[in-house]
Order: sequence, then C-alpha cells, then structure tokens
Amino acid sequence: MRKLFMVCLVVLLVAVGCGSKEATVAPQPTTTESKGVYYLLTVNLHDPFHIPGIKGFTQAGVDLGIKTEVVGPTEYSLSEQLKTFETLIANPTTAGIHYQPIDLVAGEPMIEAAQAKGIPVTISLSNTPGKARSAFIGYDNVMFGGAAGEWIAELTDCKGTVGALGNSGPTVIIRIEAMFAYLAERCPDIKIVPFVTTDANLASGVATLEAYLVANPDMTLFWYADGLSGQLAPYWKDRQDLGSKTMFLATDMPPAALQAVKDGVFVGTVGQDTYSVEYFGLQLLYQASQGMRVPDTTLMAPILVDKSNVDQFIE
Amino acid sequence: MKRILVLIFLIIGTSLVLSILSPYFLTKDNILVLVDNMAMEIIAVSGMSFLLIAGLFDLSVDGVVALTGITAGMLMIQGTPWPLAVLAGMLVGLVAGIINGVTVIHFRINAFIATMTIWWICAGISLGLTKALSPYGFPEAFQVLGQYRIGGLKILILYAIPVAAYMSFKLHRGVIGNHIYAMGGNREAAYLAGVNVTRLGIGLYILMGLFASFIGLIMAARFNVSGITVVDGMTLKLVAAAVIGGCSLEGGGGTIVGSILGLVFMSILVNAIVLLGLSPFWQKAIIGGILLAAVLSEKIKIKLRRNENA
Repeated sequence: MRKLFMVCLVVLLVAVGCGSKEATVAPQPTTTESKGVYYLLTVNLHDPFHIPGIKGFTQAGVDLGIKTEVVGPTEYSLSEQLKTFETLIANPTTAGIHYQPIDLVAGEPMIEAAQAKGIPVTISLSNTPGKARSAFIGYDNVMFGGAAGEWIAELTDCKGTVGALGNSGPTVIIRIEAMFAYLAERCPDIKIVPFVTTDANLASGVATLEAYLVANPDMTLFWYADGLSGQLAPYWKDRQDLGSKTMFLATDMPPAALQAVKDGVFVGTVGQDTYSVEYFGLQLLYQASQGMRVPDTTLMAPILVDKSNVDQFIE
Repeated sequence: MKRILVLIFLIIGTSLVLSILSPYFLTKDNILVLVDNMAMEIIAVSGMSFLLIAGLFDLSVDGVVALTGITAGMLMIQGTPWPLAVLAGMLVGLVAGIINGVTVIHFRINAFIATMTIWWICAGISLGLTKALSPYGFPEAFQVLGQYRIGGLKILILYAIPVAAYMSFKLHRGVIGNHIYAMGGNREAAYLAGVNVTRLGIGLYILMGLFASFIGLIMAARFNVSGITVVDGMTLKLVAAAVIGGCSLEGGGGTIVGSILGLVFMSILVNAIVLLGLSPFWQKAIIGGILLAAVLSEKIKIKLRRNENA
C-alpha cells in the first residue's frame, strides 16, 4: 500500500486561500502571445537536478507550439539570477517567465515588476510568501519529509534507530524535521538520533556519514536528504560489501541513485519529478498569459522509488 | 615550535575530554574514520604550506581536483586504459600549476585573482565536459588505488605520510626550504641573495597542481565517482588549517607539522560535533572562531616581537 505517493503527477491542489486565481496580467490576443518567448529562469543551469526540468519545459513548449528559452546563472548566484530576471522584464518579446527562485523574498519585487509590465510569472521549487506570482507548482518540503517518514515507518516496521543527514540548506532541514516529526508521532518506539549536516561536497558527506555511523553503530536506516546522496552509491556499495546492514535511503533521482536502488545498494530514493514540474509549469504560464484562470498553488507528490518501480524511472 | 606544542596540547586535551563525553571517540573505528578522511587533505595542506610560507597561495585546488577526476574518469569510461587516464589527469595538474605559476610569479598578477580564475576555468570545463552528470563506475584496478586496505586501514594514509615527511624534511633540512622561507620573508631580498624566486615560485605552483591532481585521482578511485562537488570547499579549509598551524598569510613562517596538526585539530572538532550530536549549525562558527583566534595570536606575537626589538 505504501507504494503510495507514487508516480507523481497526481497533484494536490492546495488553494492556500482557495482554488484558483485569476491571472493578474491583462489578457492579450493569442496571436501576439504566441509570437513571444516563454522563459524558464533556472536557479542553476549546471545542476544535474534541474536537467530533467529543462527537458520538461522545452517539451511543453513543443507540445504547445510556443517558443521557449532556458536562461539562468551557471552557479547558485542570486545576483546573477536577478540580473537575468531584469533583462527578461526589459525584453519586449518576453511573453512569460517561469521562475525558480534562489531566494524567496529577493525575487518578489522582480515578480511584481514583471506583472506590472503585463508579463505573467509562474514559479516552481520554492513558493514565495508574497504570492505576487500567477501560480506556484512544485513540492512542499514538509510534505516531502512526511512522505519520507511514512515510507521509513514502513521500511523499519517502526522499530530500530533512524537518523538523517544532508546539507545545511533550509530545504533539507525542513524535510528532515518533518520526517522526524512524522516518525515521532507514528512510531513512538523508534529511536531517532539527532540529524547532522555536511558541506555540499562528497568528501565532507562521506566523512560526516562515517562519523555518524561510528556514533550510532546500531543505525537501522538513515535518510540522506539531499541530492548529493546519489554520488555516495559506489562508496556505500563498498561499505555493504564489508558487512554493513544499515539501510540507505537516498534523495532525488540522478542515474547513479537509480542504479543503486536497482542494485539494492540503496533501499530507495525519495524523488522529485522535475520534468513534470516544469512541463506543467509552462502549461500554467501559458494559460496565465492567455488570461485563463490558473490554480494558485499546485503541489506535487514525492515519488518513492524502490526496486519494484525503479526500472520505469531508469528508462 | 611554540605553536606546535600548543596544538599538541590542544589535540590531546580535546581528545581526552571527547573520550569522556563520547564512548566512540577513541575507538578504532572512529580513528580510522579520522585518518581515512584526513589523508588527502594532509597531502594538500603540505603543498599549501609550501606556498603560504613562500608568501603565495592557491585557490584553484578544488577546481583542479575536480577536473582531474573528471578527465580521468571520462577517459576510463570511454575505454581508455586506466594508466593512460591517470597520466592525462596528472597533466591537468601540471598545466594548471604552470599557468598559476606563470601568471602569479612571472606576470605578477595577484595570486587571489589568478588562482581563482583557474579554479573557475577548471570548474567550468568540468561542468562543460560532464553536463553536470558525474562519471562513475571505473575499472577495479583503478579503484584499488583508493580502496586498498591493509589491516582495516585504507591505503590513503600510506600516500600521505611519506609525502608529508619528505616535504617537512626538505623544508627544514634542505636548501630549498631555506629558499622558501627567504622568499616568503622578503622576496626582493631573497632575489638579491641569489634565490631564483621565479623558478622557485613556479615550481611550488606546479607541485601544488600535481598534488591536486593526485588527490583528484585518488578521490575518484576511492569513491568510484568523480564530479565537481567531490571536494568543493577544501581549499579554504587547507588555508585555515595551515594558519591555525602557524603559517603566516604574509609568508616567511610556518611548518608542515604545524599545518597538519591544525588540520587534525579542525577534523577532530568536526568529528566531535557529529559524535556528540551537537547542533551542526554551530560547526562553522566554532571553526571560524578558532581561526580568528589563531590569526589574532599570530598578529599579537608579531607586534610583541617588534616592540621588544624597538
């Protein structure tokens, strides 16, 4: 039953406030719209996590018959992203911007500026508190952590010791805390050990994980709650070969992580379907640009990938 | 020498306290964790110490490590015999070292800008080559270079000890050591005294580049994966460890032993935060505080010495 949250496109429409919302931009004639360019403004063009999303956005453009372009910084640089945002607003051919904010608050004035010029802005990844945007589509970190917690409860039968680690970004911390909160409520007998954070590099991840396991030798399962986890697959296989019985639950779906799930190195991975997020993100953006009503907030369900369904994602 | 004694005292004292607070700290498993994960950093901090003592530094290390691992990794995946891939990887460090050396020493471009540029270039090429997807799954014969164990101990430390020992020996017992200290103390005076500062400086950058490449290869062998994020952030940790260990950022002072002790001390603290289950959010603040104390104590020491001389 816990193959649960499964394949994601089923989506919760949370209308924080309710249901749908009228696009805040003035509708324009379709002919003009279709001549413009719809942009995906990414957080980092070079992060492999976003590559499927870029493909999804581009494919949606093909399916809709509209022109799309992908822009953004090549590293996590807020200033570079905002500069690009300004350029897009100033560009008269911009028909819409699908925006992945690096900073929730810093992007808000840009969104307002774009809307004031009649350019609709939809966002993904991180919802902005100001809600100036036309629509949000993506994941809720509390829900993401809760889904991981529910799966962990099943994998451990609510017994043993569970831990977590990941980088110190707020996204990761919120997920881990939500996972622990779920377990604390659902599995009172499970022992939860405080989570630890790592620098966002492999060497630090391994060093931290090894110390974590020394301090908690009876760990039943731990969740590596950021996308670096896939890179630890070969290392973890080596450790398994030396007799480790601890279960490794990964995050996200890079090829290495999926292969590790298939090979039984990872017990599973909690994935985000960035392809679908950005595919439907462009659909929302296009609808908003046409003056159609779009849902204010669209939350995607996390994908739980284990041996039983990993093949479809590898494909 | 005083700094070394202080660090030894600090490391022993901290270890004693930690062994009381955590039953896991002085276990064989944890010591192996510390040793395994410090080994490559020991090699890197030895090279960085040479540069710092000579009044130079290199911010490109992370980038060279990444590009080396990726170059060798991609070649191996495409079927190139691993020894050739290793040679190609070492070539990356050689070229990066030459460029760093020539730009900083010959063209006198600020080391901060020059080496950071090389880091960017290496990181950019790494991303361009991989499209951000890390190559993995290397030949087993190559993996042995980073995974071979002797009595539970990974081979990594067996690379580090001879390198650090040789570097330390050359620094204190060789002509080259005198030249490095002289160059760091006063580059013009060293030049007037007959030290070929251009050749020495370029040579030190080449050495650092080769060390970085070696680390990139061994990390790729150890983790069976190579990528841009393998050691991202290590360079600043190396500089911090060297400064804590007594290397002066102005050049002319420091030892390899001190830098390694600085690294050991930092690694113990990070390890302790995990073992004791302390809030990880404070980790960087603690390390930063120690670094600040080390830099301030160095400055105060210099000031006191000047006052005495006056």
